[in-house]
Amino acid sequence: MNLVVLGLNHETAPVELREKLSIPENQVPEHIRLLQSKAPHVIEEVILSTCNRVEIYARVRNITRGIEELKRFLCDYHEIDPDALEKSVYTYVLEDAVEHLFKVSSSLDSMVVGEPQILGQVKGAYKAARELKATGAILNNLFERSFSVAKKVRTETAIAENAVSVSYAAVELARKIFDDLSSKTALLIGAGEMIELAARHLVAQGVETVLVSNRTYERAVALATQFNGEAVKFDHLHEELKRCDIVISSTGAPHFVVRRDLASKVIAERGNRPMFFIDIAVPRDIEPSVNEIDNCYVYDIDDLKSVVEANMAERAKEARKAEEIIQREVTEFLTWLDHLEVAPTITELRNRADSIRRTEIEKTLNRLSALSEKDRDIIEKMTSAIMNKTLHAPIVNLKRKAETEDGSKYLQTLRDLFDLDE
Amino acid sequence: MMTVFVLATFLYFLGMVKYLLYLGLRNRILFILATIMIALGFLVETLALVQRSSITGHGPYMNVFEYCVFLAWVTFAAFLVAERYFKIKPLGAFMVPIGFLLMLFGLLFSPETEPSFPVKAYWLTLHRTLSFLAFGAFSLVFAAGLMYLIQERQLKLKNFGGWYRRLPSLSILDDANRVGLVFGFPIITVGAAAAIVWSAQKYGELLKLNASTASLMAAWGVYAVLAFGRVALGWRGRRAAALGVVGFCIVITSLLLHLHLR
Repeated sequence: MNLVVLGLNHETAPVELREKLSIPENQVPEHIRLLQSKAPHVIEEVILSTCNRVEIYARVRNITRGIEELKRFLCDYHEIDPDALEKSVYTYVLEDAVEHLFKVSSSLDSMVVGEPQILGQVKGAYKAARELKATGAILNNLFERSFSVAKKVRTETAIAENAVSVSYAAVELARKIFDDLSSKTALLIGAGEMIELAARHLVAQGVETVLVSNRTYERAVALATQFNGEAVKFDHLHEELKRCDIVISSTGAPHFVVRRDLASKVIAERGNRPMFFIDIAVPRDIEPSVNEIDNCYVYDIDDLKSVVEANMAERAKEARKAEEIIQREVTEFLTWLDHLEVAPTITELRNRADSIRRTEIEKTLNRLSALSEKDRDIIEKMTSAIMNKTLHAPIVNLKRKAETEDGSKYLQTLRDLFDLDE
Repeated sequence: MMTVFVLATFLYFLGMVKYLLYLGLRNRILFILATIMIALGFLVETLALVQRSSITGHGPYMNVFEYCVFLAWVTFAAFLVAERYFKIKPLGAFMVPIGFLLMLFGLLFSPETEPSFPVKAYWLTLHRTLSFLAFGAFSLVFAAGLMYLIQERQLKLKNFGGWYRRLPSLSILDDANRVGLVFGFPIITVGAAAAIVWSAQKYGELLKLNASTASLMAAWGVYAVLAFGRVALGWRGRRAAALGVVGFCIVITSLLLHLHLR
């Protein structure tokens, strides 16, 4: 079965080329129709276009011609120099194509390995193609399978378990300390993009109250309204710290905003309930030795980065496990495909019929013991002729149909009718 | 009858190996199998204990063998409850070896009983039963405390390696440590009081001071300090965890002394 993938991604093509080739979601149907009319050797196709990759998955009548047509389609439609495309494009055929799709769906081929969006994008691309009847039994099965492979990879490996962004690393650490973040209070000191991002993650994880403190009170109020929180006066920091479990600080102050003696007073007043300080500021806002106080945990921007690095390494390790899963699944898919090949099916069908014929002949001839050798020969020939003539039309039709879009359906039906898979 | 105890020990062993492997590999199926093994082993041991008691006519605390298998039994009971309640997946790797080693140790001794003490001693029976139950709770305090200390180290030193990933949050571990104490401390206190009453009745003195009772008192003292610290001084976290670990080490020492003296 001639499966091919042709495409380019963030590793093979510069963004200038990717953006030229990328196909907006609402234009995908139009492209599929165009491909159907312009590429006679392409039988089934799915177009996947994301910001990191443009790929066409297809079943073709002839691999070389099919690939040529797909390339021409990409160049013609987007007015790209074929040489430029040639440099960045990759093609995978047969089992490599299957493996590639499984990797893409499982997010092993992504820029950030394990990121969850890609699966949704592949599902969307498949759905669009399916609605236009651009896919048949083969690609349908291939894509459905790739979704279950992705799910398997996700549940059986820890590939997507850990945070790989600095702001999310803060959430991961908070959960290692507090477990459940609901009913927790966070204090934001200062302002900035990072602090907002971290706060947004924390709120999404259930943090109940957000307090905002800033040298300029108006700014604090503005940020507080974003999170349904309350602005607090900068001079009241000591009082407010007492009720805060998580403190994120990012001020431009040249000195420490939270000193060790303040932190140890606050922690005692809180009855030793743990406090988690995230210091994004440079120069730092939280005196580093606060980390030495029992139940106080201080992380600066470098610490958060090292969490991310450790997690990236962990993902790479899990990716190897995932590849083993994928290898197994590819083999399984190929076995399924083999079943759909025409030639072996025809042989199996003939064998089935012939074995029935032989058994019956034997039974009959045993009862007709008076027959001469010549008579026996005649009966033998007659039964063979009946069998061949009966099977002739189905076999010819099957060979013809196998070339069409519904070929695999006919093949499967035939196998079912004659119990060839038993 | 011994074969049933050996069977239970074997099941515990299988469970322990799987829990340790799970700690390394984090494979869900290993975890499920491990829990099934321990639950099965627990069931088998329960039946064995019931059968044995119906034959001997007394509870399982008459000789070293009975001591050990019964201590293992309460440890596994505490473990099965704690695992379900707290859902701390690596807990098995910390608690199951305690129970398994106790079983193994017990099997080294003859199961034959020689009733050296009057069998019908109400206060003594109460003391023993409660002390055993408290042991189960304290094994949880110990395991959760040890895990807390490890995880706290990782977070303070900013080691984001295997332990950091595998162990749960400090909050859950502190909770497990606290709950173990909430059950264990009142029970052992009543148990100790029962021992004093019994001693007064039998020997006419409140306390026969020897190495075994002294170390048991030391253990009680540590847990008393821990309970007081937690309730009155708001201790939590590292200090509570460390005391829980120390207390359990003293308990084990006193137990060994106790068994040795008998």
